[in-house]
Amino acid sequence: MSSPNDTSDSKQDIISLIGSDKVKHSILREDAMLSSTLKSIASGNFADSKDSIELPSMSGPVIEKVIEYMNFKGKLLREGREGDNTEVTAEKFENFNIPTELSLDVLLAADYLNI
Amino acid sequence: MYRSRNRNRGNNIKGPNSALTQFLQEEGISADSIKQRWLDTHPIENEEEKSSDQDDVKEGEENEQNIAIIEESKSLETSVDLLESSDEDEGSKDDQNASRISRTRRLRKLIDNADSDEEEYHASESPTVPLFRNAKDPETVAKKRERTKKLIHGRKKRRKRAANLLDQKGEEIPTLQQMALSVISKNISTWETDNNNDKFLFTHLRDVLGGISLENLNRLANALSKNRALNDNTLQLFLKTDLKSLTFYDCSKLSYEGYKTLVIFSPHLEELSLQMCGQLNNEALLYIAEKLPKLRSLKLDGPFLINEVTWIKFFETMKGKLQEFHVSNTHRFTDKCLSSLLENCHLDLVSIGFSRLDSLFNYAILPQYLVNENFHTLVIEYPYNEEDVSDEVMINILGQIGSTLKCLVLKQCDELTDSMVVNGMSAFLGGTDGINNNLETLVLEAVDQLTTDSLVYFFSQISLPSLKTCSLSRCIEVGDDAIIEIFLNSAKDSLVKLNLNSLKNLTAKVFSVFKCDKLETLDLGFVRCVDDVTIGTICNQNLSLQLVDVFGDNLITKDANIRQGVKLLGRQSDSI
Repeated sequence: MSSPNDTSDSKQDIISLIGSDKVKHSILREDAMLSSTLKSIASGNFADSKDSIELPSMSGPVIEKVIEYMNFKGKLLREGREGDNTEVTAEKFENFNIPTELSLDVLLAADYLNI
Repeated sequence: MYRSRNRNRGNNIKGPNSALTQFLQEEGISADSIKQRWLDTHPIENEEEKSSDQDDVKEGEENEQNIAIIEESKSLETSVDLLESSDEDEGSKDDQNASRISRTRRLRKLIDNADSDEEEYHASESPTVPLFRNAKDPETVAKKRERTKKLIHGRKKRRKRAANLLDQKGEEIPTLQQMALSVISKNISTWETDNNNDKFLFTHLRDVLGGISLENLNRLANALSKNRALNDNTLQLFLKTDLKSLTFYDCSKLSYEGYKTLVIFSPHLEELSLQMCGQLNNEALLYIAEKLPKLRSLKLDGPFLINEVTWIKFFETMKGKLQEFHVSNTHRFTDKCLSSLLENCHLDLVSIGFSRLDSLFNYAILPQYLVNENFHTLVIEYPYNEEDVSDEVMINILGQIGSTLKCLVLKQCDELTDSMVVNGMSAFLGGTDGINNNLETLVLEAVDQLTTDSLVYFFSQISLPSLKTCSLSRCIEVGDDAIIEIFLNSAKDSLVKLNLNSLKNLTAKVFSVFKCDKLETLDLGFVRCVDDVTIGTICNQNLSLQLVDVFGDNLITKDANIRQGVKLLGRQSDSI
């Protein structure tokens, strides 16, 4: 989910988010830029690396949830822009759920990332 | 036969199709009446139809196709669908029924034209419906099932859309923060009752929330209040020592011990708003006064346990500190309490609000004490005796603080007349040059003696370039000219929220000049003149408009041309 598998995706611009577990979680740059915080970090002069962003305060599962959300949102926006039928994605998005035990951490992460 | 299930109840309980049913009932449209009308206008075919009708009844009882019909009527449950199913019932008849089918289609068109929010009929409506159809044919049954499934799905979607509309949520994608908050609020009551996790949870919550933004903290308070989940346990979430401002929207489950804990752990609070604080008692109020040295703003709703003596003691303690005081929904706030408030705190008071205070009568005392030159908010709502808030009292008050007011709210002050507007508002709100740069909120609701003339005078005399919120809701004597004058005033460039609810004298012409660039929210409920064309014009002329309340505007139909980005709330044809 967090790492795109197909070849078409791999050609696209992808960045990695690194959480407290030090695992790299991949996401399309376009989707990541939905977060104004990630956008500022990625475009800032002091970014160590343009291709990976460290978020040490977030655990792996939280980052995965955040990426899942941004993937859905990005896809919906793209489909809407291109005039495609958004119904299928919207329906899947309705089933997007946040595990109760993660909800507070996700809230914090979303608050920080401004999404 | 038609919707008999609901009709037999003999009440107005709303079912899934109640709006359509209600509308048809109100307009006197029923399948029988339409049939009768059509028969009356087509007497030649009349006799033939009668005989075929009788045949239908007999045949219908024996017909095996009933299985299919029942299935369909269960899923559709609308008058039109029943017409349609009867259409299919007749499918077993020979060609002489062709004319009858076309008649049914015409009837269906009649009803569709009258009102239809059930788009699904069109899917089933086909000009090439075969006259002979075998209900046992598995293909037909499967098709019907498929169609029923689609209808149910469509209905679910519409229901969700309508629910979102009522919650003022757009169809836009929710933010992750909103989704997380909704999970938290759904589960918070479960967490509370789970004693095993209790300690862990609250420790965790406090650890986590230590770093959360104030905005989300307020949202969490909102979510808790909405679920009636704010109690002494969940209160711990908000015990932050650096907290300066706190609003609880539903404190009904907070005990007086909870208030004391709050005060001890958040000693730097400056602004405190406690709504529905029915358990706030004398001891807790005095505790608040003693232990919050920086408190300058207190807004209480429903503090009915606090007695007169305690109020007086509280104001004495708060002398020199209290700048904002709003109180509502208590019968124990008396004239003596008001005197004490004014005597002790009048020098610092810049904002006061009184709403639904059944033991407060002496509003006439206000003018002499309101002397702070920065006084900005005055709220008087639902006085127990309407004559207590008279023109004279209001003119005197406005004479004292009119020029600095940012917010003036007068609700259900029935005694007020045009004199207050002309001799009070017009005279004292304008200053010397007729421009008031301070006033941001002007609410004159249910002041039913106000007329068009005085408001025309006010809005033509005083320029209000900062006015953001204006409400003339239920001032039922107000007509077109007053509203046109608002649109000619400089307020038109700053207005964000406008409430014209129940102004029944307005006509459509008033909206032709309606152009407010910043207007986002508009309430046109029960302004009967608003129709499809008018609402289209309003949406096109006001480019920032996002939400329009149109409850009771039955001339607005589903055909209204609404600009994208505008939500209509309360349109009859949106009912589910």
